[in-house]
Amino acid sequence: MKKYFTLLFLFFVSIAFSQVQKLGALSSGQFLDSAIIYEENGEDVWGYLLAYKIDKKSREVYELEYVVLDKNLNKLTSAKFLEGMFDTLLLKFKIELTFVKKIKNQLIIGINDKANNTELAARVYINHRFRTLNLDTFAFSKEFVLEDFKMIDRDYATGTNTTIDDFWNVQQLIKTKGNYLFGFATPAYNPKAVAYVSEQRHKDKITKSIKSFAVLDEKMNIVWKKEINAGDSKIFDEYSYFDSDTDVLLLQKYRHGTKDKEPRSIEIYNLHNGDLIGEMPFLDAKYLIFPDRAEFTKDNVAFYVQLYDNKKMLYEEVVGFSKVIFDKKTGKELNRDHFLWENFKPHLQITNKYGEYDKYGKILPQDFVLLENGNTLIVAEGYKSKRSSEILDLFMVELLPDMSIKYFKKIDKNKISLQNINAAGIELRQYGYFDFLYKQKLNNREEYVFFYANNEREGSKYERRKNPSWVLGIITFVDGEFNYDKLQLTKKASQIIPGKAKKGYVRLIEVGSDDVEMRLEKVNY
Amino acid sequence: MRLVFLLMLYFFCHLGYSQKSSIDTTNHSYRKELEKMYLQRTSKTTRSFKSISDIKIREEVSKSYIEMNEDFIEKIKKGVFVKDTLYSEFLNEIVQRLAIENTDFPQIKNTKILLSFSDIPNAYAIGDDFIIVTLPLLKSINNEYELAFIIGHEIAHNILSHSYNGLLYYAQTVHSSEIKKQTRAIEKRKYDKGSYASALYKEIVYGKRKNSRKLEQQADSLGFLLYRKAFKGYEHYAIQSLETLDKIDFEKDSLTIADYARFFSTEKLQFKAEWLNNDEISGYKYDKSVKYWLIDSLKTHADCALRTGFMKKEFQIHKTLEKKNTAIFDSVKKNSFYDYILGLFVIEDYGKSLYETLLFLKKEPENSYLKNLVYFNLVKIQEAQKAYTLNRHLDNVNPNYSQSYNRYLSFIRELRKSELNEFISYYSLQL
Repeated sequence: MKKYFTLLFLFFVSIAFSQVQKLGALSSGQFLDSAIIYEENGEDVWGYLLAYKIDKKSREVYELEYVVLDKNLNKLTSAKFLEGMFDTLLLKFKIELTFVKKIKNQLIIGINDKANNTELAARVYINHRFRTLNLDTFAFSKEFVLEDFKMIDRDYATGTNTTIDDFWNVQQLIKTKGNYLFGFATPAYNPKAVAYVSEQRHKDKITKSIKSFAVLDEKMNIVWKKEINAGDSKIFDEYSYFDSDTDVLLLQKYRHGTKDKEPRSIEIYNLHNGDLIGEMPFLDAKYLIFPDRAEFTKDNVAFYVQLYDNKKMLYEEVVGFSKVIFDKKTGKELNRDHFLWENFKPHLQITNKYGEYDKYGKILPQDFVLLENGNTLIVAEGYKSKRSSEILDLFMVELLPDMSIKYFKKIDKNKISLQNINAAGIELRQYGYFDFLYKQKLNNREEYVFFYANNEREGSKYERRKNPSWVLGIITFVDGEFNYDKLQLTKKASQIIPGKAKKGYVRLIEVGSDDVEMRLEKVNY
Repeated sequence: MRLVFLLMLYFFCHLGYSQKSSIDTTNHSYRKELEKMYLQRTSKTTRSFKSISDIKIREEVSKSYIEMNEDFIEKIKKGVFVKDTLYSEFLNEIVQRLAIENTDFPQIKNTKILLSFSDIPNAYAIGDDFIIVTLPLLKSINNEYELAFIIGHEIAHNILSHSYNGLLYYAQTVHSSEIKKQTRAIEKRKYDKGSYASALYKEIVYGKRKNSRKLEQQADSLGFLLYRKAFKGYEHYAIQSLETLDKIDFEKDSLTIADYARFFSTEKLQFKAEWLNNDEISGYKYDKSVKYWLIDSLKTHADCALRTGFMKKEFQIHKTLEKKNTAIFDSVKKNSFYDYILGLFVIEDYGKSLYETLLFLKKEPENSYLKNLVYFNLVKIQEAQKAYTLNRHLDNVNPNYSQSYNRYLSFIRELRKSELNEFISYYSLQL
């Protein structure tokens, strides 16, 4: 009944005899990485992929195993193969999953090497390569890389070494929330020197030399491609992926060298054929704006943007946010409503336009949900920026289409003090210091769950760290009403780690002294 | 657990039906008595380990034996083993008959046969003259002769000291100088450690399983000889019992949409077809190919067809006398159904207990015992859901389960809090 799941040792039954345990440990896999596989529309979990290192065959070649599970954690298939990894004396790398994307009956598995033992670790992701799995035949493809959108097979054998030339020009792909992958062409100007010195001085040249981006299908065929930065003009565009759904692709564009008032915008493309549907420049009649995130409904895309009333966008001088709605078919802006922090006034005693209230601090939205009726659900958290910034309470808000408040509730949390971290709210969010975890649809209706974690242990910092009492806050929005629940994560003999699961469920990994139990639990709604 | 027993106490104090459980699930004196007997018998065996000359093998065997005993005592304390006159008399009579007719094996009369709550139909020998029979086995067999052969087979395991010898064999294998040498060599390797260790590991595990299959054949042979002496003229039931065991996992009934509509519809809340529309299996394909282990080599028992073939050939068994079941067997079988679902509740397998209860309720829709069990299981499921531990008490959908069971598992999880509450209220009125 329990689904015991050991992350380190996959295959072997527990046997009391130590000699056999030693053999079991030697011959079983070491957990490398895992990834959630989403349904094509990105709304629900389809399954999971776990990667294990089974054996070391030579200095840079390993035997890996991929295990694919369905959304209920039942095994679908698995396969072993040889995998090379770039390695140097100076930088130590490890293999990680970049993404796993399901398109029709194919899984596309992206992996890369990541430096993991230097201060640069967070930035060095190289050697992007792919494999596909046919979900009907369970056949894994050979490994391949992409160069200028062309597939090049990779073969490994014991003794194979990977050099910088093998991956310098390979492309990285991004999974969209539709039935496609997205990628930028390899820059024509791509000096290897940036591997050793700062990339900055080459940056513009490299950006300018990226001549196209394209959307690919599951077989790596180009569905559509857009040429950019033609010629050698001083004006050139720098694109980055912003978001997508099943219909549209949103790309953020920065036009370098232009004298336009605002060089930035978000372009809205038809994901299926590449038509440019519309564009949202970072312009507003009254404020400076910067898009925070996009939310999609069947017909519309809503940009939630930060509002600044000064000439410079200073993180601590956000005065509120705006919801800018575009029609996905026509690309026309339909509506734009502002919500200023001052609008919280019936519920909070806001003392200045930047959202300060009393001596408490400020509030920053963590996530938004746009409902079909035009209402917006917001999960926000309080914080105070100071020498050791503080993370405060949670706030659930429902706004009507005109951005007036329909529902407001403060959920008390234990304050978290971030030792020697003096940062603005947006920066604290970027680095993941807030307690809010994620939101998820509960079912196919407009019902949602929001999760946050909080250490409820009272007492000194030492006491809170030594004997934490973590809880998982579970907020459901069902039948138009919010409900609040908590689950104790820190137990006497175990610790529970929550994670994303299929709609309406939460994945709990309970780590005890003897075993690890992974289970899917239905959200109690 | 305390709450469970209080509930059950309440449960049975308020029932007065002929088809009710007679099992006392709160019999603490039986648990103490059983624990005492178990410790007495196992301490004698522990002392005998002194005769193992190799200290490492002795330590390994001793360690494993202690672990097994600790697990077993925990089960005793949890109330997994239960005492009941009806079953005890029936099971002991079979053992006595086997003992009386097989005087060459005087230890048979020491056999202590335990009745166990479980979700699996099974009988097993653990050495020290203990045999365990699970309640679902009693509901699955067709007559006392089938059970007599199964018990004879388990007694044979005890006579042949298979439990102890199995521990010893395995300890000797893994402590052999050859295995140690190979393990050391593997540890020293720079590359390919996994492949070499894996090959050796498989060799050991396959060897152990092969030995298990050999021991099963020995138990079949000796078990049959014991059975034949005690139940002369009914030899073919030995073959029939293996055939019954072969089919024991086949689900014989299922819950239909109409059944759900009947059980889960109240005045306030009508049954919703959408509760059953959550098929989470058919959209996936599952790879059935062999990946790592050779399944046949992993089996601890040979296939029933092979075992029956061997028995027929070895003992020239032909169909002989037929006999109608005794009243006591009919009574045991009938009660075992009720006690099986109660047992599932006691071992906190609320999901399966509810499923089996509903299957039963189809046949006896007015049976209050069953309705009460539906209520108690729903309450426990609700408690577990609130505590986010439902998966410990309710299986998750699995491609290896029947369509009916998977549909049920999805159905329970599909119910909203308010809907589950309504059904609990409805069944509480049936108490």
